[in-house]
Amino acid sequence: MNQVAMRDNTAEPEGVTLKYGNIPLQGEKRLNLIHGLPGFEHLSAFVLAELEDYAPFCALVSEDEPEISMLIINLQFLSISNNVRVPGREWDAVVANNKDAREIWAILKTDHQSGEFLANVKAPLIVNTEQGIAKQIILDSEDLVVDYPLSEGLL
Amino acid sequence: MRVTQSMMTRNMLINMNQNRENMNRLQEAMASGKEITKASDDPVRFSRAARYRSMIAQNEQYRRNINDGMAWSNNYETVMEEFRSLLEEAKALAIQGADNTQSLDTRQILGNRVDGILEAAVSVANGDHVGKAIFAGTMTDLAEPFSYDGTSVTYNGNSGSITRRIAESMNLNINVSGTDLEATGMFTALINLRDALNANDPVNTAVSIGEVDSAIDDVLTLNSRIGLNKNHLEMTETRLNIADSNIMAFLSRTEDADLAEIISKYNAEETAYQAALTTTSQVLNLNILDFLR
Repeated sequence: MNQVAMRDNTAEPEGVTLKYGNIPLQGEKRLNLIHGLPGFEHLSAFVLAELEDYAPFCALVSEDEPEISMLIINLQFLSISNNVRVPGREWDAVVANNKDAREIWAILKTDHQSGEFLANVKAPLIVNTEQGIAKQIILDSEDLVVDYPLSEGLL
Repeated sequence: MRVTQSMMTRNMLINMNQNRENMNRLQEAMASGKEITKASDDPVRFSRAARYRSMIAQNEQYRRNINDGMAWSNNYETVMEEFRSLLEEAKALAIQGADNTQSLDTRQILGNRVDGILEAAVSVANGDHVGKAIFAGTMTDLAEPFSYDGTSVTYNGNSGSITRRIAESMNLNINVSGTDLEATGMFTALINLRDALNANDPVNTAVSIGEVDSAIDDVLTLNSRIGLNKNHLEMTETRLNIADSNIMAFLSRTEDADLAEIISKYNAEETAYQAALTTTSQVLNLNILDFLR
């Protein structure tokens, strides 16, 4: 069970280990998802944390409902990242004026039959890492899909 | 120490291999670590997963409504183009008829052609989509929302809206009523033009050119409204797809395979139970009939 007890962005709470399922999390960062997530519009406060021993995979965990969590991966680890162009107005929406503070992440799900990871590169999460503001955007490009197989594109 | 290209390449390959290895391990961990949850074991988690699954089912219904709305919109776009084409043809006849050199006979011929255009426009306005009149408001069973008696056009429908629920708390009006169509002034413009030509009146024929032009503009404006509707439908559908993808991402970590199996097993048992009830009922009826005989 996921436990998100902390409110301080930097200090880890004593005696509480963040987990994704049975996998411990580390290096957590707090995010404010403006407009929530489609399907979970009522949630905006999230934590982004690394899965211990499973780099580059991370977890996005709701602070208000810790049971709501998803696997995510930074697009820099996917070959398709070259095709992902985020419009300037979207970076403006998360106030990411500093280009060094911009990150793009994809939410992962598993294929029901094969268990293979599929990345949603059609609707990535853009993150302003300086201020912890994020937004899930929808890109127009028809080359981008919601179920991009990681087995094909993981660098 | 100088970092060579081969060292950089080797490090990159090592990282790539490590990433893939970690991905495989994680996939295995998720597959083997799925917590088997039945309603009786953890009703809260079971209930939460079931709730999000029902959202996916609800989104499917919204998508069906969106597809229906799109079909109506596509139909309207085709029809609006037909109206525009008919009006352009009428405008050309009006320009010809407004020429002072035209004779009475010529204008009457033109007037008859405009009458034909008017009949065609009424016929198009009485079109349907899967058996439902498209320009009748909510009176979609009407065979003729518009009737033309050779003199004037009468609208027999209402101004009602047909709506579809396309998302949570989001309804969209998907129809164009006959009232909206009348408001373009299309039929009035064609009738006035016909009458001016039949009366051999070049002055009013010239006035009709402006009226037909205005009707063309209003038809195009109506078409733009339909286009906006289509955009709205497409955007909503995309958002629903993203919502479903996010929900599946959340369910991927939970017991979705087990939940699907549980629901499937419940449905199978329910079907078998209902079948057993039916059989039992038939057996009982036979016995009663036998007794009565």
